[in-house]
Amino acid sequence: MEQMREMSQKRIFDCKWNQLASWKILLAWIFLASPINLQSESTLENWPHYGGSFQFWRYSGLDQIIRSNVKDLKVVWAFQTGVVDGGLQATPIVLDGVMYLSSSWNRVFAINAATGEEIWHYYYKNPRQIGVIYSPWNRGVAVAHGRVFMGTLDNSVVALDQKTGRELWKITIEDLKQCGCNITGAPLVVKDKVIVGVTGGDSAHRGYLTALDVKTGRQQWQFYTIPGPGEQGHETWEGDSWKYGGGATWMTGSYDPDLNLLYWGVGNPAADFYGDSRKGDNLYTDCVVALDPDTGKLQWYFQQIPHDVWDWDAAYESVLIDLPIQGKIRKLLLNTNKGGYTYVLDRTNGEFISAWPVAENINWIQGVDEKGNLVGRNEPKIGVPTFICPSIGGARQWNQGSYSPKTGLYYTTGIEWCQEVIAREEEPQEGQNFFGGNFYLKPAPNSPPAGHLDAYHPVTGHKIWSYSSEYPFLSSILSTAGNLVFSGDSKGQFFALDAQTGEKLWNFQTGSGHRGSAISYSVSGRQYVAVPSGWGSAVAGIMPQLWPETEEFRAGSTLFVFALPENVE
Amino acid sequence: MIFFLLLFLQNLNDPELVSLGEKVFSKSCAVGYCHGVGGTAGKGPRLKGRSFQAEYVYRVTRDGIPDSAMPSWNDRLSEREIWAVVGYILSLSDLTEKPTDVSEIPSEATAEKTFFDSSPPPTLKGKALFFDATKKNTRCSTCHAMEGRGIGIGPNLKETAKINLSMDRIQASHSQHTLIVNLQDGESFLALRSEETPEFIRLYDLTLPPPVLRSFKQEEILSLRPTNKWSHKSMLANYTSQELTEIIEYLLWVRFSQKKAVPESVQ
Repeated sequence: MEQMREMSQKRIFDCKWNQLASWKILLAWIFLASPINLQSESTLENWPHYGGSFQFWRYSGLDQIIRSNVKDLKVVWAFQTGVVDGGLQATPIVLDGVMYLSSSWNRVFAINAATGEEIWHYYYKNPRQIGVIYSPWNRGVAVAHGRVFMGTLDNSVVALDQKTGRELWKITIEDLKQCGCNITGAPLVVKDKVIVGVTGGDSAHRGYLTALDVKTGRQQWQFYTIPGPGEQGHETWEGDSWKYGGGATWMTGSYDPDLNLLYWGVGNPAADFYGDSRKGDNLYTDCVVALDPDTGKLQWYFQQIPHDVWDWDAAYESVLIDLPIQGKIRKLLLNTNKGGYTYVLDRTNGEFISAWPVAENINWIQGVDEKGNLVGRNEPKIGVPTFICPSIGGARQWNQGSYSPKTGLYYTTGIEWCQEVIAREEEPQEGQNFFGGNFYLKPAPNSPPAGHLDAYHPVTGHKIWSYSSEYPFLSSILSTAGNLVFSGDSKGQFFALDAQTGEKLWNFQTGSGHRGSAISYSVSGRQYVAVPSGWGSAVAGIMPQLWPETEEFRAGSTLFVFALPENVE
Repeated sequence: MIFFLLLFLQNLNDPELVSLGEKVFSKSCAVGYCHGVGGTAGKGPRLKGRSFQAEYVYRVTRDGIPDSAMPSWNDRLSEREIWAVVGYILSLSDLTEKPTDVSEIPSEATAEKTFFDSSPPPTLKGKALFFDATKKNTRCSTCHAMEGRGIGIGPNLKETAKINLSMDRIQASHSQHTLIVNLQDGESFLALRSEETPEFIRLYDLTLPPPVLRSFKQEEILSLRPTNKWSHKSMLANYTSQELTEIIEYLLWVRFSQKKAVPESVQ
């Protein structure tokens, strides 16, 4: 196993490292990488999109809070959502001094971002029986055109009046009881369309991405992640398996306004662990797809894992960066998958550039070759335990990384854990769970289970520094122009690291573990850092299999907002 | 009394029952992020090493827990399978509470239940077509609920016995409730009324499927007039006549108290 890992690491090292002339070039890349188009990719007083910007950098250009004063941060207000079930997993949106926060069970709050006073709230009326595993959390709203948009636990989308919270329209995309699917991810508004994904990747369901008109709610297009009869790619599914093949779009995509391309990650095929009844590559599962946002037409795709039998997903965020490759500025896209590889693609056409691992313990493949193909697959077997690293929770969870143009580094988390998987033949029943097997978490052979937050060169995956914890980090990362990296851990600590060295500079105990995403914004020239605190979720739920004490970790759902004292510059 | 308790415990501990329970649990309860293999841990509570009353586990398994992710398994598992799961869960726990009732465990194993198994075979095809996901937004269940599924915006097809379910009527049908809505801002669309207060009105916009429930202040509405402009025709384009006949058979079956009663006029 260890040998396999080394081989895997070496392969990456060999095939990518040799392309670089020397360390000097790497350092020049890192420190001289000019902050390209800082105005649009980074955020300033507002945090307008789920990923900060359309490019999903989760980077704030604000620099009032810096290394020397971060220790002076104080809580200026806190906000309780009142529902702790599922924790607090959202990213708040801030526009013109107003924060829009969503919580489990589809509550939405508009809050004065300077004082914490509630302006309005909206509690969506969900049916009392949700009955699908993708609940009850919500990961965020989108705000545009005077409206706040949210996907719901019963697979609907609502548009609320941004000023009053009044519901303007509601559309049910598909009946929850039939599809076994719903919406937990934040929508993305591109021009006059609100684009929203769907869960259901572990159910017998065929995934899609839906675009709705922001004004009327009418459906404008729907892109099925599994091609139907007569469509290109349909031949990558055996028999009727395409009808129940998963391909959820459960996270939020990115958008390149210059190329007018929408990028969305697609999840795993179903059944997760049993693939014999869906022989073929199973397009477009585990792909990043690039769509025309006006029509929903596919422009290109890149499949990371053909015929996935591990539930790996490629559904996480796509980070859009322009960087030089061999002397030429390329428009790149970074997408880290649950199997633990960060894929770097040319986002104009989907061309493979590189792939590099974010965890030490990866044995489901030996590596990725120079063309992006998987080498040496270790697949689950029917009725027999197969030892697979990482665990189903992923070598990285969905919580997003961050790119800082100031340091030129990509920050992401990694988890060291493994599992035993037993695959099982399974017939699909529409809308029902469709896993095709079971798993049980196990530690890696040579190291205790652990989590780490790391700084990488985005193209080579060369690790610059690492900050570790005895538990997985299940919170997104925020980087700022103050050369700081913020994130939270499973025990409730919210902390700031030096973005260049990883040195821990400050922390604050919020009282419950972190599963959401911190942001930064400013009101009247004062910089704030806001972080959702609240333990919960599916992955937090399986952690006791490895860390029994985490069963006792306290739930919560509180947003903490920090700033420097007003007399401190 | 003691005798009955022992009998009950014996029943729930019956190796065959527990073994069936383990199988069902493995596929339905242990999967993904729910209760974990052997009830060890998951998003749902750990079940291993805990004490439960059989009656409680039975009720929660059968009916689910409202306002939680715990679904009801009533429509997916047979009565015996539910009791088997109870038996298996109790086998994982430190049983200290003694359950009391014995009579409810059916003695024979029944086949796994699915939504589609509840119809008799002749109507199965029409039912599947009514809910056919490959028809995307033009499937019947986009606007009509049946047997607790689908989105019940359009008329309740089970109760509107007045509607003559003939092919021609369905294709040409227009709801007498359909309105043409003119807004102050110039927008116009076909709609169904949902609810109205002195201040607001909520309408289902029928322009494109699925319908959108839109809310307006009364002053935003210029006019609301009944219209016969809306018809099923465009919605039905993805169904063949044969398929529509089969759907009608299914609707009639549901309407006539689940008796197979297909009038000769339906062709």
